[in-house]
Amino acid sequence: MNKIIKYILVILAIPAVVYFSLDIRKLDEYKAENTDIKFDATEFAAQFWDTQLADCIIKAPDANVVIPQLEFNPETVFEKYGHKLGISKTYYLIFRGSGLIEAVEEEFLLVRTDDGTKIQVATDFIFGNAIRDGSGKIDINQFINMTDFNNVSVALNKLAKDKVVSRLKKAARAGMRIEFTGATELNEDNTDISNIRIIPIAAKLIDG
Amino acid sequence: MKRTNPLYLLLILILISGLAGCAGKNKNEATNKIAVVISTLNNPWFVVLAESAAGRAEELGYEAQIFDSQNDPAKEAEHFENIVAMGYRAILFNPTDADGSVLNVKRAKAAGIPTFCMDREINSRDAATTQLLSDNFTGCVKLGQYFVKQLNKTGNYVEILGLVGDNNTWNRSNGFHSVVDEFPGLKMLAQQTADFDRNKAMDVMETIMQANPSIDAVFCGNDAMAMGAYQAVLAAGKSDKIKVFGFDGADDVVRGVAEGKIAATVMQFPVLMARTSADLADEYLKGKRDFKTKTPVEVVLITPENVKKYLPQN
Repeated sequence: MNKIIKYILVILAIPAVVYFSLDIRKLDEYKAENTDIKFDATEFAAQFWDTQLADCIIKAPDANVVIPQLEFNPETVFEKYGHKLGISKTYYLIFRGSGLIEAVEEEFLLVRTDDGTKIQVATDFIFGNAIRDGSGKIDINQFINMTDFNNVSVALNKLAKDKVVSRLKKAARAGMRIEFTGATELNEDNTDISNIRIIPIAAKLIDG
Repeated sequence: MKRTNPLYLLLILILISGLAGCAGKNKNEATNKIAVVISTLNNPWFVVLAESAAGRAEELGYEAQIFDSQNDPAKEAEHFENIVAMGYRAILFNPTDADGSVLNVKRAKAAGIPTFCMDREINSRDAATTQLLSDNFTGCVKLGQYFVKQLNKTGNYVEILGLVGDNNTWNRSNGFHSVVDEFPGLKMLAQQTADFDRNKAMDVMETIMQANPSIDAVFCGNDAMAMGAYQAVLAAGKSDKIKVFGFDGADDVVRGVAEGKIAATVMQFPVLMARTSADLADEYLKGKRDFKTKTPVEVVLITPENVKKYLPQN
């Protein structure tokens, strides 16, 4: 009888020891977590620029609509056109406009839009998250860490410099007309419309 | 009397502990405790994070316990083992290592305990319930632009990094370099870690200044190191020549910005992050399940131009 009890205990004890000693998981799960595939922000940004951002450019609201609302009812602009990342007072949005280049400054083109507002179209210091977050189409949850997510901003800013800004720097002159689409960042606590600065993501120069 | 075989007793003990382990998995619901696991309490910034998290958890009706990992992943793992064994209901977590801490969080998850990361992230999309992170990269992009303008796009500088295993170190450094490296007139003479520690930063800066007499600025990955670097610069009689930049928005550095000692810093909001983490844990324990995997918390560039708004009340 003792022998039988001993055998039963051994049979029960061994799996108990194994269960509490090992971490058993599905192979698919493990493979998914341990992929060696490195995220390529440049490729991601290039594809995004040609597809989803191109769509944003087509659908961008006009400065003639956005800016007057921003002056008198900024909450409406933020709600309708703006995108916010996490816990923040900064909103990012994309809008388009057209106007006259009044001056070519060291870091921007000073443009007076058709409704009289002055906007800075950046030609230097092309940094930040306005393009990435202004589109509202890039979800932070897609990324395993903030490094990958932030590298997308870097890559998009580089594309803006290569595809749009470099051309503006070479060819823009005071007196020319410009049609532009750009991304901007605005703060809830400061919606001063005399100070709007955009990073251009599309631009067309027309001789005045 | 017949002596009992020791092997027999051992087998019985193994069985009993196995059964106890099964029972333990279900005991979390019986407690009302939340664990606050912090990378180190040797840094005042993290003390604020810990105490704010614990304080808010207690306001919400939980019993909160703070665990200090002392910047040691092994200590952190030990804390997690104890937390699982003692049946805490949730963990508010400030990791020691973005990769190394993932397993700890997964073990807690397997035991039915949700983890809410604060300030520092872990490299996993699904281990933690959610991660509240300061937007360090963006903060340093803003700081980098200010840095470039303060140096008029030319000059020599030094960078003092934080802990190399902390993603925040690299998010800040990468944000800074994503701007500054675009300006060829700015040259980095040295880049060294001081582990986010004030005294180490002072030593590092002293050594770097001895080897490099012509430095115009130093960027430090946190304010504790910025104060250490400033001490070294002051002792060398170069406080008028070398601009010091930090990150955190610590009271002494914000005052330093107002007094012209520190050029700029980036303010984080540890109290907001900590209290929000506790709120989210409470929501989870009351049944909410749809959380974003990451929630960045905005940071603010503090310069002499806006410092008055952010001066500490005391």
